[in-house]
Amino acid sequence: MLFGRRKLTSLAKPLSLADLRKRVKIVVIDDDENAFPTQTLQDEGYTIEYWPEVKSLDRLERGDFDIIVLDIAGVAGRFAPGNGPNDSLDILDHLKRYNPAQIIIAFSGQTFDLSKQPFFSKADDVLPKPVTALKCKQVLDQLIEAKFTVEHMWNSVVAVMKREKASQKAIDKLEQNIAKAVSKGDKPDYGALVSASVEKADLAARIAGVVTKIATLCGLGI
Amino acid sequence: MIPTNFGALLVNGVLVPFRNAVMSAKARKNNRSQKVSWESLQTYVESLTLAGAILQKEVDQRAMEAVSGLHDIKTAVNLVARNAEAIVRNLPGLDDYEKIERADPPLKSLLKSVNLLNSRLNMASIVTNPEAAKHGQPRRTPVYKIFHRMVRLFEEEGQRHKVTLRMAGSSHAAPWLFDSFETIPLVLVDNGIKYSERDRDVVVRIEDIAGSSDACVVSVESWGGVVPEEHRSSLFERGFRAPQAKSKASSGSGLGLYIAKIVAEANSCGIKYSVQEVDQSGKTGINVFTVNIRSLDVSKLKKRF
Repeated sequence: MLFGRRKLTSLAKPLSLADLRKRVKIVVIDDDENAFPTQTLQDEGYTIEYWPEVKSLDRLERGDFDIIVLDIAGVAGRFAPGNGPNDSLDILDHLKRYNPAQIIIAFSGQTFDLSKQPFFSKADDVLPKPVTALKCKQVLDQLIEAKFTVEHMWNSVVAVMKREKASQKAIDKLEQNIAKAVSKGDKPDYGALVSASVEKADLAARIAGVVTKIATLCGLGI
Repeated sequence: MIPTNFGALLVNGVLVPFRNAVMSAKARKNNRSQKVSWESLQTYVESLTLAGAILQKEVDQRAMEAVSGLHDIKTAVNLVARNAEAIVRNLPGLDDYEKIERADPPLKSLLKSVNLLNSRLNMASIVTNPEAAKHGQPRRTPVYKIFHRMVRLFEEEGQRHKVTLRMAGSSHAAPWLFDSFETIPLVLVDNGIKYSERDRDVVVRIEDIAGSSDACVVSVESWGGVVPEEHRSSLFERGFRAPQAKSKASSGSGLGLYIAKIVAEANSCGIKYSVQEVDQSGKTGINVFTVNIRSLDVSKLKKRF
């Protein structure tokens, strides 16, 4: 049986905002537990984890969290290059280099400081402290609705692959393999599927997480 | 302005043309002997400019130190906000809006105060870092709702000043604007109350611009001492307070309209002051602040969804 070329975007299942709030994983990294209205938003259906400092750079690099809410200082822990005042900026820079599609919200009361401007301008959005639950919801919902679409995520995978000089053939092959698995309702090991389609192992590792999320947005509920 | 067609200039500020038919030859010779060379004048002006820059840097540094001292206040306000939210969570109702609507007046008042504090603290950042006016992503901003919310937040303050706040007109416009935009209604409504005469209305009037779903005009009108003509061009300058403002309210930093101007420019909006209907003395009338609001062109912004 011939399997025609299918676009991933045509396989997307529309998900309600309530559904997306549940599926999108958020981590709040701030040394002040009261800074962010975590409990209120969890009650509203958001999936939020709280870290007083960066616990695992691996998990952040892997894309375990769709959205990172990052405080400006005092949270880089042992990962701060020099434990300096710009440690969060260094974390942000590192994560963005590793995965440009990673969404990071700058969360800080230091919006008055011109010298901290790079932190705010490099982040995907800004939540200035003090913050209300209503403002947090507004910012998160806007990001979720705009960025958690199959089209946006697939575009970010393509961007990373092209930057790593992957061929169009490799990109098309990956798309078809994913589309095939999704169409059949398969829930394979997407990491293995990506590795089979992409030659470079580190590239495969970087995009496997995003591919899994694409499958989720296609309704596979992984 | 220094005319360039003259070869000499008296430092005392009196410009004496070479060929002044009224002056005697001796007087003209005497003036010429006091001339300052163009180079000396330029050095003088450059020194003044440098001194100004050093002073401005010192002022900015002190301002930043003052604003950074707000950090502990921000932490405390955060705590109050979290506790207020915890109280609201336990109220009956389907969502936050319904819960707050049903809340007791003191709790409603507390929530309003927290919101107002939040807005004012965020506003302070713009003084030392004007770039803060462009922080974050632009959002669809229902302009009527934003101004109405500010009117409600200031209701009690209005009552204390014996001033009635009301909305007039309507608008469905929801242009793309930065979060900083809410500073504009904060400043204009606050000023409207502060400088209005007692037993008067402060009216927030809003109308959509015909032919556009994302543009509107808002005016905040209040009856009180008008800004003299000669001071109007300085109204949006940092630290400026018009004479009638100083006599009406002894406290005031002269920063509100300065910040509003920065925010308006960041959001590509126009803001201006005008006067309507002065009384016979010409000193009292309707002060009108008008804001022309259009959507930011999000396709041209560097960072966008």
